[in-house]
Amino acid sequence: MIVLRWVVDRGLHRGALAGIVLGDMTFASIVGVAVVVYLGLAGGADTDLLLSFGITAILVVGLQTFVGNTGVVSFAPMAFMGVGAYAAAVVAIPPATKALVLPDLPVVLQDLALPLAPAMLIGGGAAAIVALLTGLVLMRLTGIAAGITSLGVLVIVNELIRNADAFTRGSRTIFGVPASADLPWVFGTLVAAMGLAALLKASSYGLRARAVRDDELAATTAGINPLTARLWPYLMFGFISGVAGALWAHHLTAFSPNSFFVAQTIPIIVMLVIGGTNSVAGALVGAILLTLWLELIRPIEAGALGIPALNGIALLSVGVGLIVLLRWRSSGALGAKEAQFLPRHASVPDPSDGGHSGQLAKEEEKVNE
Amino acid sequence: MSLIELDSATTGYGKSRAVEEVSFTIEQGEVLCVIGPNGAGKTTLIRAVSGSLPLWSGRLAFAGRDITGLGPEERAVCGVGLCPEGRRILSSLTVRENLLIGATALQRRCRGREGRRLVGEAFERVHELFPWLAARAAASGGTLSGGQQQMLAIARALMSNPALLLLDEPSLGLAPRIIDDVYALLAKLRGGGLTMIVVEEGTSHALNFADKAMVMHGGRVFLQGTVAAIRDDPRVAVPYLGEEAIIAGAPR
Amino acid sequence: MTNFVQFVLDALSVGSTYAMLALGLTLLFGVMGLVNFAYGALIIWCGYVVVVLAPLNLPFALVAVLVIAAATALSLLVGQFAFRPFKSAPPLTLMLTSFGVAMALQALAILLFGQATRVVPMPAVLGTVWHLGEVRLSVLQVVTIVAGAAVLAGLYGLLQRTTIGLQIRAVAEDAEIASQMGVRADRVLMWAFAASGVIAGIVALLWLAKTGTVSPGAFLAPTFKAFIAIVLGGLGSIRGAVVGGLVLGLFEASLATYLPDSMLSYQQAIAFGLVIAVLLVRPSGIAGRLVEVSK
Repeated sequence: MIVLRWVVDRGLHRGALAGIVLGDMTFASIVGVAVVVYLGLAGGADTDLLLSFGITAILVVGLQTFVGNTGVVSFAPMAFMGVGAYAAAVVAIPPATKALVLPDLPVVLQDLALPLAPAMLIGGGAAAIVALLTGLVLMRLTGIAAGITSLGVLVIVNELIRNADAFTRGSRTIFGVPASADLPWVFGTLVAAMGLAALLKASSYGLRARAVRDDELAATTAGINPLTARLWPYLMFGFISGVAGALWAHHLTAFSPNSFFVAQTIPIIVMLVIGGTNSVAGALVGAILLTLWLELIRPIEAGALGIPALNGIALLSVGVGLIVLLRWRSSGALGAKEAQFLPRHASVPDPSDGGHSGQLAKEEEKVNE
Repeated sequence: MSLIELDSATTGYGKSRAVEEVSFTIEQGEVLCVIGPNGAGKTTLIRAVSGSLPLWSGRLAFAGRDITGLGPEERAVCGVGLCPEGRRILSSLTVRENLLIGATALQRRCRGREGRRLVGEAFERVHELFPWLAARAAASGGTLSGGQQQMLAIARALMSNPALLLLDEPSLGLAPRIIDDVYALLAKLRGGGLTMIVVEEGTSHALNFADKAMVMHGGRVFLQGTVAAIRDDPRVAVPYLGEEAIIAGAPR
Repeated sequence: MTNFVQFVLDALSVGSTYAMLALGLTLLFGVMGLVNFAYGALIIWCGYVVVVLAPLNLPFALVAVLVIAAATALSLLVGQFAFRPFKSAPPLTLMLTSFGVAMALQALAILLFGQATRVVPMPAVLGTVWHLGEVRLSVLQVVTIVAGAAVLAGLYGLLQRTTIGLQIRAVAEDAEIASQMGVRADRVLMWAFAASGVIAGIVALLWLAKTGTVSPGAFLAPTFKAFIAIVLGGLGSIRGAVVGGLVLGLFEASLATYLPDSMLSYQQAIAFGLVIAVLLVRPSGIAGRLVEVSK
């Protein structure tokens, strides 16, 4: 029997790893299908919103791979997204428009007009490079210092984008990106992203990072280098965020550096917390929940049912909700659980091997909080 | 009425039990020493009595009053003093300030002018026991040697005039001669009528000093009774030189 | 020579503001490990208090007192209802909670006052500029420097000479032992929030006098500065907060003076770059004791 069930994040057997990857990907697929069905019924009016939601969900998944595995908060999602968006724009805008928009671009890039898939990879790759450069420098830090420096990354990247006029059109709006981001691409990427995130989580890379997260001293004694252990999730985070940025560029078709700053970062972080920092499936759940909530509250904010417009009530509800959530269920909706596929013949076995001890068992304890 | 009565206490950390069904009774002026190998739950027991760790089940009565639900700051006001494992001197505070913090419970018991007078008396008392403290009053707590820190920790615990003094491994990390000095001091305090619970891993000093003993192992009480009874018990081999008690039949 | 004096004055006045912000943050970080993302929100609310009081035409001294009182009250409220339940939570949770508080406070400002930028009327005398030879000195700059010194002295007095100050320092070092000695952690926490609020009120007056306006989104700028200063100087120590604030002020004044105009837009980015550089060389900050770095 194929069962989709929530499993606690534990030390994993090879077979269970595949189960978790497939499980999370299936979950994302189900959501994708639900979206398509909904649009079919609702007549396509909300396509924009749903595309937006899909890309946001990818971002949250990307952030989750870093925060969940390293326990370090990062304000950098928008930095990587911005890099990805601009990189993709540079290679994807058709030459005719490009001559208008980015006249000072190096010749080799002027004539380039890549389709969506390569543009996404380039976006992801560019962001990953930025992640590598910043990561080598920053992954030694944890806690507050890490948070502040990630804020620094956001500000610095934003400044650089604003000043690299030849490549980005500076603070002005860049336009002309083909609108090729449609539902199959967005949700397909979401499925792939969740698969990658689950893969990282369940792999030894993820385990090492979490070992450092839970007890750095013990992990170091066991021979794990904290810097490299955190770097891998960080690179994945950069890559996924960059890909999301590329999709975003192909969705909006026009944007400016203002689209990628602090204001846009907060909802991503909130979604992650709602769903559960430690869970890939949780990232998607968090994105769904907050998006739904905001859609519900938007009409109230604009003034409906006889209540006058209350500008700010959406933000207030999210702020208060966040505090309440952290108080009563700081592990988020899903805690550390993942969706897992269980093979037919299994009589629902426990995915953790007997004999796991030490760091893995500790991880079990910690993530059950 | 005994001064302190612990009844079937169970507690631990997260999901693991560290102390299980432990009971003891101590009369005023008595000294109980708790001995046992590493991990037996001795420090956990001290934390349960001091209030740092809430009990999962069981009761703690102090001077006839049920203090099970009270937090550590309230128990301090009731008269429980702690000299914690590792001394835990506040190194960002001076010696004098460390003592002053120790007097917080006293200040809460007795406010205003009366309180200030009592604090002054407490300082005098403590300076009498440890004359060198007055000389080093302005020194930062972190600059003291291990033995001096231990003395300071005891002095700090004494500032609030406790009825019960808890000492968690007072000989830890100290040279043998210093340990002798510490226990000589404790004997003097006992002579003054102070009730104490002393937790030790090494046994000879503790057993020589205490009235009652409790041998713990794996979170449970293995053996309990007067010191003489424990010494004579064939199941416990107490090496003369202060090493861990060897409990017959129990895994190390 | 005059240039140098001018430079020092500019650096000192800006640095004093940042140092005060950092001090307010450090208090809370010391006693409960909280890096308060919502600290800037106290400042914008002070701005709105001034706006609301404007029609009453009260003497400015009274307005200043009311603003400081309001900031203290707000800080206590937030501390009591939003942060106290999280007393023993891990730093990450605390920081996220402070996000929620920042969002809520910003939202309330939008609800009550709208998104638009409002002018904050401050006494014109603060804008007066004195000329001492070639040196330009504004009244506001002098007031800022004096206020900075006063806040530092006041805080020093509180921490070193009062019982509650002693308890704050004890809790900041070892909360468990402090409570074992009879210290009530809750009380200490509330005093820290109150002191932090007083400082916020004072900084708010100076900040608003300088910028002249307030809007709901304006809470980010002072928060960023405070964060940078506190991390630069070293988390968790008073000395670190002062050093960090002054160094940041020095740095900004240098950039303003020596940076070619074409690079001015990079100012904030360079400030963050400075922080990163310092943290890499001295992970505990320039003057700090706390180390949050892997070897």
